[in-house]
Order: sequence, then structure tokens, then C-alpha cells
Amino acid sequence: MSGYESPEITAYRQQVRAWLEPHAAKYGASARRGLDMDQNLALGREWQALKAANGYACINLPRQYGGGGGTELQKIIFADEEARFGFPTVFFGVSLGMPVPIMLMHATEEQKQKYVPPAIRGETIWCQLFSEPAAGSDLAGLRTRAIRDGDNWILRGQKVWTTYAQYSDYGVIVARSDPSQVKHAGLTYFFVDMHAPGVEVRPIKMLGGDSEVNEVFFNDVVIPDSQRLGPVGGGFKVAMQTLMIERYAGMDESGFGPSLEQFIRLARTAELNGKPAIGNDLVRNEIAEWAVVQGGLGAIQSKALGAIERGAEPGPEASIFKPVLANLRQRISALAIDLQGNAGLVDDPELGPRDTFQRSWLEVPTLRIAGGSDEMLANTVAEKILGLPQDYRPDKGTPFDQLNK
Amino acid sequence: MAYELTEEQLLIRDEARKLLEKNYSGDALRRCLETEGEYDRNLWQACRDMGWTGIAVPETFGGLGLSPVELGIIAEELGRVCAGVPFLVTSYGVASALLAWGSAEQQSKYLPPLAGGEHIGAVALFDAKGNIRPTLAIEGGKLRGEAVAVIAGLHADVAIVLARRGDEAVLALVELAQPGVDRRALQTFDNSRGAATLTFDGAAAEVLEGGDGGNRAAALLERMAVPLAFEQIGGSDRCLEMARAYALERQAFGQPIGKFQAIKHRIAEMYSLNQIARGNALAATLDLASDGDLTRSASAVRIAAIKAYEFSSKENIQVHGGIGGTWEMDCHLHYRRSRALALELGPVLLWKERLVSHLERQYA
Repeated sequence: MSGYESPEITAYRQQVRAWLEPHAAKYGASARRGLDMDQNLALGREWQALKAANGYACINLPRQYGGGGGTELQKIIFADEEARFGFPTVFFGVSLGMPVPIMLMHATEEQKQKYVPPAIRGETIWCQLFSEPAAGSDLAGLRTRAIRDGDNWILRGQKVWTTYAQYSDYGVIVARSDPSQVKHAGLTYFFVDMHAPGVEVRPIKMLGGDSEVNEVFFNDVVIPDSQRLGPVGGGFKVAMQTLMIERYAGMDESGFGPSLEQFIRLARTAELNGKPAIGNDLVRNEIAEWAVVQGGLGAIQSKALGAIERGAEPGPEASIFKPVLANLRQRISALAIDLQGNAGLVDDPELGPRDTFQRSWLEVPTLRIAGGSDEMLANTVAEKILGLPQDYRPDKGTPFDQLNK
Repeated sequence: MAYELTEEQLLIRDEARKLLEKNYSGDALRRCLETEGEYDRNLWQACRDMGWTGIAVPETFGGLGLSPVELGIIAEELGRVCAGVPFLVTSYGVASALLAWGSAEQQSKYLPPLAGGEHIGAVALFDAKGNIRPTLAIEGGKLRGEAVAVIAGLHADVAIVLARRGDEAVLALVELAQPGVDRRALQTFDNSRGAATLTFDGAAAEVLEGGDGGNRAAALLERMAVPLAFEQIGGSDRCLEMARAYALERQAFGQPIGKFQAIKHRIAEMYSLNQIARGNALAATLDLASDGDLTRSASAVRIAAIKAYEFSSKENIQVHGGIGGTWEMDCHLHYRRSRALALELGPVLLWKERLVSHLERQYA
């Protein structure tokens, strides 16, 4: 994102760019055009291994587990630069973003040595099994059971919206170990082998036609107690810890959709009543609104990077990024489609959400929900930042198995 | 220069906040509202005593010689208390024009009294329809014509005006306490802004030579837009705080109204808009300090600050319910002020057009 940054950040940015650039021809956006998912994944694994060999994979994780031994700031700058070239990184975003760091926090030394380095090299992929059909925003309402059986646990139930579960070798999961407790208290956290008997993954076709997310069924899957992360009954806390790892979620200035520049170029060639659409005041209004959001969020981003650089906590204001950008993108994508006349109906599913406004518009509805819906994020701002009281929660204090009776 | 305030800057902010909260009175502002042409004289005296009048004027001219960051800090604090004085920004406009385009004599004559606050400055760049277009004419050092609704025009000692000289547009400096200058106070919805129509009939004026007046007028508005945005953000933040406090205190249906999402999401939206405005303000401040691309960032912050303050001030009344619409509550002071500030340097429509034209050139 544009903005002012320190000479140290700029220098690191240049170093990273110089390393990335020569690899773009083999791994970048143009090299990937036309590849199917499996080919993309194979290329992605190669790219991940190459980064790991050069200390650029999981830059902020310790070297002894295959990380780069660098800082969080370097990790953020690297990811920012990497995104510009369209490298095949998506398969590892969740895997290395949350499950792997949480393993480093809670697994035994032996487990860390065994599981973390191959994940960082891209040889294995981890998924995060949190959401369920009846537990989205209200995560603690989840129903998947973990039943104690001697030294083992039996997992029984269903997860949903699990990103790249179909490619995953392992997953971290939170399940209900004691339904007689109130809902937050009866949860326990584990990691699970996704190839174990009884694990069944079914991809979900989303409205844009892609199938990155899955339903995952646990049909009496047996896991040893040694795969528990954190104490019995402490699962909600570990789940929250997992979600807090990425305290700084990078956002590009277009919200991962087409750029403002692309929109201006479109408005220049599009016509309304025989005149260039860019002369239309409604179109101009949207351009102005977009530039204003960019200016504001760009500065917030620079400020957050500055804080991380100083070793301070970034301010809470970055929590507005996703809802602001997603809503803006939805509105502008619709307008951009309008500007193309009936040809605006044409949609090329091979392209990505940065490439066309059609793809962007089709992806946004999910973006407004994933990782915290607009409404939950507004609650977070109101409650966590501004100190307003929580909603009325009738399930508070009631044991889970007494709810809805 | 970084986005974070330094220790010294935080100290300036805290002192300003303490002093203003002590001296602020909603009643003082309400009296101004009911009296055409009145402003909060005590508050202005406090600004002078603190040296804020010269905060961004170099020390050689009697100012504090601080940066646009400190100017923004003070503007924000004045905005928080909805100060009944418009002069921090209007005087800054005159000083800023003199520093950029004034002769050495003009600078040494006019800057020290502005820095000390003995003089108040005003800027008149718009025609009666809101265009940046001269309504005055200057010929042989004599200024003629009418400038409509000039902010601080009623109280100012010296003004920068846009005037026609033959075929060209120029900026000119004119002292207002002289024969040939007539001021007429206007009854407005925020009387403390000192709006007046100025009529010149052969008043002595000096041209700031060496550049096109239209371009300079636009550049001057961009510079003034930055501290004014901080004033707007200060007001908008204050509205959020008022709404939040009331939402915590007011009970309905057996609970504080802040528990209802209809209320809390409204307040969260205030936060979001304020943060976008603040981000833009930080970016524009750095551009102002470093001669960066001010057209883009000043236009953006102007648009963002207008939107934030307007939203927060109207929704603050809404959160308060019936009592929020009464004269005795302070809510309407911000409602009025948000609209006044939305107009003063030109309406949002003008700035959006300016921003988009600039982007078109940038992405040509």
C-alpha cells in the first residue's frame, strides 16, 4: 500500500523485490495462466520449497523449525511484495498463517520437529476446522463431539467452510468434549490427521464456481490424547489464540479486487449516451469515494507497520479494513459491470477477482462474511474498541446440553 | 517524520485539551449563535496566550515555528470543543499565502501581528455561487467590488483576496480597517464564524506578484483544508464520544440502548468514518510538511472529514433521541458546525471534482 514508510522498510522492500523478480517468469501470474488447481498446487509447492531454502518462508518463525528467523515486519513486507507478482501462495495461506504457529505454541518439542518443517517447505498442508453448520459467528455453539476413550478421543460431527481441506494432510480442530458445561467451557482443541479413517471431505461449489472450501465429516475418527493442544476444556481459549496470531492482516489498497486505475481506464473507454462515462458525475463520485478510502486505509496501514517496526501493538483501527473495502468493492464492481453495457454479462471463470470486475463482484458476497461478517466486525468495533455493552445473550450461563430445550 | 506523535507533540495536545475543556462552555457558543457577529473572545484570548496563533509561523516572524503536525493538533482540539472562533485556520491561510508568495516587506510587516494574534486574517477566494473566481477588481493598487460571505471577514484586520487585474487573476493583500472597506455581518446558522460581506470601494491593496491567482487560490485552499480537516475530525470524534456516553447511560426496555445493534452499529460507523478521515489527515499533513502531492491528499481529506463530521453530528442527535434536538444540548452545536465547515473552503462537490480531475491526469 502507498504511504510513508521508514528507510529500513523501503530497503528491505527493495531487497525482497530484487529476489522475487527473477522468479516471476516461472512462478508468477503469467506462468500460472491456464493451469488447473492440481497444477497450481504442484507449482505452489515448488515455490514454497524455494522460499524455504532461501529463508523467505515463514520469515518470522524460528530457523530451527524451518522458518526464516526474521521479524513480523519482514514477513508482512515480503507478503506485500510477493502478492504483486501473483505467485502461487494461496494454498499455504491458512496452513502457515494459523495452524502451524499454534502448533509451535502448544505442541511437544518432538511434534514440532516432526510436523512444522515439512509444512513450511510446502510438503504438507494444514487446515483449520472451526466453523460448523450451526456455529459460524457464534463459534462456541459448535457441536462436533470429542468423546474420551481411554488414551484416545473419538471425533464425531461435521465442520464446514474449511479452506483447502481437500488438499490438507493435517488440521487443527476444536470440538465439544463436555456438553454439560456452559458452551465456551466444554471445548477442547486437537490436531488431526486428515488422512485418518473416518475423515470425509466434500468440496462446496461456491457462487463464483470455485471450490476452495469444504464440508468435512468426522465419522468416529480416533485420535490419541497426545494430539490435544492445550488443556481439556481449554479449547475456546486456544481457538481465540489461533485467530489472534495474524494480528496484522495485510490488505492491499483495492481489497484484492481490480485497482482504482483499472476502473478509471474502464470509465474512460466506456460510453454513456455517446460520451465517455468518466464525464458522468455518478461515476466520478465513486472514483472520488474510492480514492478517499484508499488514502485513509493506506495511512492506517503505514502507521500499523511503523508500530510493528517499533515493537509496539498496531492500533485497533485496522479492524475497519475488511468491511470498508469489501462493501466498496461490491458497489464499484457492480457499477463497472454497468459501464460495459450488455457485454458486462460476459464472465470468464478462468480469471481471478483482481482481473475482472465480474469475478470481483462474484467473490465479494463471501468476502463480506468470511473471517467475521460485517455485522460481527461492527460489534467488535463497538464492544472491543469503544466499550459498548455486549448484546443480550440468552444462552449465557446455561450448560450446552440444556440449550434450546 | 512519522505517523506517530512525539512526546513533545503529545504534551502539546494534552495541555491544549486541558485548557480548552476548562475554558469551554456550550453556553458561550449558544450566546454567539444568538448574536449576529459575535465570537468567543475569551477562547481567542486563550489561543493568543498559548501562542497558538503563530504555531506554524517561523520564529523569525514571531511565531512558534512548528510544523503542520502541531497546527493539526491544535485545530483538532479546537474542533473537539466546537470553538466559537474560526481564526486559527483563516489566519493560517493569510500567513501561508504571505510565506509562499509575499515579498520580504509584506512578510515582515504582516506576519508578526498575525503570529501574535493581534491581527486576525481572512481569505476571500469564492464568488457568490461558490466558484473560485474573482468578484473583485484591482487597478492601480485600488480594490473594488463585493466579496460575499467571507469567513472571519467581520473581525479580520487583513485579508487575502482573489481579484482581477486586467486580463489576469491575482491574489492581493488588503487591510480591512481603512476607508473604502465596508463590512456587513450576515445572520448565519453558525454565527460564531464571523461571516460578512465585504465591499471595497477603492481600498488600498497590494498584489502578491509572480503567479496566477486562480492556481494560487486553489493551492491555498488545499493548504487550509488540512488544519480544517483536523478541526472537523476533532468535532466528529467528540460527537462519537457523546453518542457513546449517552448509549451507555440511557436505559430503554430494561437495558442500556448501547446494547442494541441499531445503536452500536451506528456508533461503530462513526468510528470507521473518523478513522478514514484521520488516516487521510495524517497523509495530507505529511504532504503539507514535505511539499508532496497535496492536491490528491488535501482533496481526499477534505471529502473524508466532511463526510465523517456530517455523519457523526447528525447520528449523535439520533442516538440522543428527542433531547438531542433541543437548544440546551450541545449536539446541535456540532450539527451546525459540521455544515459550516463543510461549506467554508468549498463544498464537497467541488473537492470531489478536483480530486477526480487530478486522478485522471495521474492515470492518463
